[in-house]
Amino acid sequence: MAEALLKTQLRTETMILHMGPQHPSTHGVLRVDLELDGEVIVKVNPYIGHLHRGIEKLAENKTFHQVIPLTDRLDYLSPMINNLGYALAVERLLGLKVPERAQVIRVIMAELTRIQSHLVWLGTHVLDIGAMSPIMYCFREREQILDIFEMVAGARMNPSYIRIGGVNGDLTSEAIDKIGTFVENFPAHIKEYEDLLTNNPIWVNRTKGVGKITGEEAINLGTTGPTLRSCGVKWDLRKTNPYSGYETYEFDIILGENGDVYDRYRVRIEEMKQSVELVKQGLKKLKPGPIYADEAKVIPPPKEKVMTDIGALIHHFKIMSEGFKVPEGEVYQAIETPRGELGFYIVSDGSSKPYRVKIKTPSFMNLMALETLAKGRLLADIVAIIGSIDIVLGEIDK
Amino acid sequence: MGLETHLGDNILTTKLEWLVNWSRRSSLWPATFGLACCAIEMMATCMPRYDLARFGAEVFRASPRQADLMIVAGTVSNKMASVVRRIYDQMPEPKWVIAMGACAATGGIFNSYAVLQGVDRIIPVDVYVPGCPPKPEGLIYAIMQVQNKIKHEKFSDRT
Amino acid sequence: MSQENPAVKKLNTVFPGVIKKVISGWGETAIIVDKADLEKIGRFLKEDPELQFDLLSDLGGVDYQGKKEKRFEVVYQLYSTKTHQRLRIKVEVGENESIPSVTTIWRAAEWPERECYEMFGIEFEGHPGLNRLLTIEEFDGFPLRKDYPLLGKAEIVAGYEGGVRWQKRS
Repeated sequence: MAEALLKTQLRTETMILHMGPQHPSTHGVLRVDLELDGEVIVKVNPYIGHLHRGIEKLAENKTFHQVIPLTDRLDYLSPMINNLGYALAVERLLGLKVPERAQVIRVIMAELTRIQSHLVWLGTHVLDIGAMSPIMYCFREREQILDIFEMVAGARMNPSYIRIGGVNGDLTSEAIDKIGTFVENFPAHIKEYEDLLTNNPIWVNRTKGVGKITGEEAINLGTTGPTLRSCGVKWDLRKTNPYSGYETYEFDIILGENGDVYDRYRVRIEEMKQSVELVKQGLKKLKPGPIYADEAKVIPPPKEKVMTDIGALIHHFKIMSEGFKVPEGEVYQAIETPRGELGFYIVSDGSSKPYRVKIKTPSFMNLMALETLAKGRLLADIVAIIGSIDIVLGEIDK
Repeated sequence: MGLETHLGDNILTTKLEWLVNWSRRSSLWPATFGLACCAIEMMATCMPRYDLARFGAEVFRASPRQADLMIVAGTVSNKMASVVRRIYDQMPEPKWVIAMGACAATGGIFNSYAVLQGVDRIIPVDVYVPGCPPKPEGLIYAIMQVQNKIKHEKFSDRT
Repeated sequence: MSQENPAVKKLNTVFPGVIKKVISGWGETAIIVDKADLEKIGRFLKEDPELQFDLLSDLGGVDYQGKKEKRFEVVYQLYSTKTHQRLRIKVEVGENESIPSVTTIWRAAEWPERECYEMFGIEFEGHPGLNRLLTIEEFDGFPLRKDYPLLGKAEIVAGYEGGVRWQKRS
C-alpha cells in the first residue's frame, strides 16, 4: 500500500532554477539555468550577452590609438594588461622597438595589476562561500595599489597608461618609493589570508574535491590560465612565449594537482607571491632612459612642447586626428592575464583604422567548462565553482 | 500612507514629515545592481577606506523587494534593459535611482547597436554621477545629494 | 620561415596539394585550405605525435566584402601546449555557404562558432545547437558585417510598467 502510494504521488521530475542576471554571486550579469534533481545538479546552461557592447564593431571605426580606451574596459579588473596586449600587437605590425625602461615599467605595472586582480578575486570568492572578513582586508591592500596607479597614470581604474610605442608618463621617485614600501609589506598580508583560510576545516570541506577536471579535458575545452595550471599542466605564456622582456626575469610556474576549487585557490595565492618577486626584480632593473620609441610618425611629442612650440602642435594634431598608417598584414598576439590567455588578432588593410580586431578573451573559453565542472555536484557548490573559474563578464560579452 | 492627506498642511504634518524623511534618508538600503566596471568602484565604496555604512547604507540587499535605492552602476545593454525595468518595478515605493558613471547616464563611450544610450530612457533617475568610473568620493557625494532631496520631500509628492 | 615550418612540411608530405597558399610574416605562419579538407587536416594536426596542436586558441570570422572573391574567411588559431608553436588556418567561405564544424575535434569551438554565426551569418554544419549567443534572440541582422550600420537598425526609446519599447531607427 505504501509503495503504491509512493509510485503514484511522488513526483520525480527535475526542476529548473534560474540564477538570474541580477545575483550577488554571479560576479556580473550572468544568467545560469540549473536543472536540479532534488539538490543534485543535472544540467547547467549559462546564458551570456547581457553586457554585450559591440567593442569589436566600434574598434573598426576608430583609429589605432583611439582603440586603447576600449581595450581598458574589456576585463575591467586588469586594465593595464589588456592595454599591453593590444599595444604589443600593433607594435609588431609597425615593427616598433620599445626602449628598455618602458619595457621594465610595463612589467612592473602588469604584475601590480595581477596582484590587484587576484585580491578582488580572493575577496569576492571567499565572500560568496561565506567568510565575510577577508574581503575587507583584501580591498584595504588593493587601495594601496590603486594609489600607486593614480600617482603614475592619473586614474585608479581604466588608466589607458600603456600606449603604442611606450608608456604615457615616467615613474617619479615618489612612485618608486611607494612601490618599494608596498612590496616590502605585502608578503605579511598574504600570510594573513593564508592563516585564515588554508587550513580552516570549513574552507577545506567546502572546496576540496569540488569542481574537478582533468588536464586533457580542460585543454580540449580551451581553458587557459590558473584554472588549467591547477590541473597540473605546466604552461605559462610568460615563460614559453615571452614578451616585453619577461625572459630576463626569474620566477616559477605554480602548478596544482587535483584540479579542484582548493587547488585553484592555492595556485592564485602562490602567483601573488611570484608577482611580488617580479616587481622587486623590475625595480632593480630600472635604468634611466626614454619611455617612448623613437618614431616620429607614430609617437606624439611631449605635452610641454606641444603647448609652446607650433611645430610640435601641428605634429600632435596630425597624429591624433588622422592617425598613423599601419602596413597591410595580420598578426595574433597573446599574453598572460590573471585569467588566462588574452589574444588580439588584428587585420590591417594599410589605412589608419584597423580592418578587423578579433579579441580572444580567457573567461569566454573558461566559462564553457562550467557544465563539466558542476555536473553531479550539489546546489551549494555552483557558487564556489563559478567563483573559482574567476570570470569577468565584461570580457565574456565584449 | 493615507492618514496625512486628511490632516492638511499644518504643524502636525510638518513635524511628521520631518520625522519620516529623517528616517528614510538615514537608512537608505541600496539594491545590488552592479553591471560592469562601476560595480567595482561601488564595491570599493563599501570597503574600509571609503566606508559607505556610516551614511546609513549598512547592507546591500540582493533582493529588490527589500531595497529602496537602486544604483545603476555600469553599461546597460539592450539585452539587459528589460531586466532593469523589471527590477525597478519590483522595488516598493518610495524608491530612488542613481545613475552611476558615464555609461548609465548617456551610454558612455559605447555608441553602438547594442547599448542603451542612457538608463533614463527606461526608468526615472534622481541623480547622475559623471566619471568613467567615478571615484568613490563621487558616489558618496551622489548619495548625499539623494539624502538632501529626501530631506525636502513632502507627503503630497507621493500620493 | 614559410617552407621550414615543421607543420607545413609535414602536411605537405602527408596530404600533398591540400594547402592552397602559405602566408608568413611577423614571425607567424598561416595556411589557406579548402573547407572540404578542414576536418581531416584538423584531426591530423591534433593527433600527430610530433605536432600535437591540442589547444584551439581562437576561432573568428572576417568580412572581406568587395576585396576578395569569396566574402568571408574563418580563421582558426591553433597552439600546441607541448611544442609551444602556433599555426593559423584560414578557410574561405562565400556568402550563403556553410562550413563543417570542428566541435568534434576541439570542444573549445562550441561558443566561438555560435558567435561567428551570430555576427556574420556563416552556418556551421554539425554544430550541437547553433543559436544566438550575445545579442537578444529576436535580433535581426548580422552586426559585424561591413554593410550593417554601427548604430544598429532599432533602439529602445521608452520604458513602461512591465517592459521596454523599441523603435526603428530612421
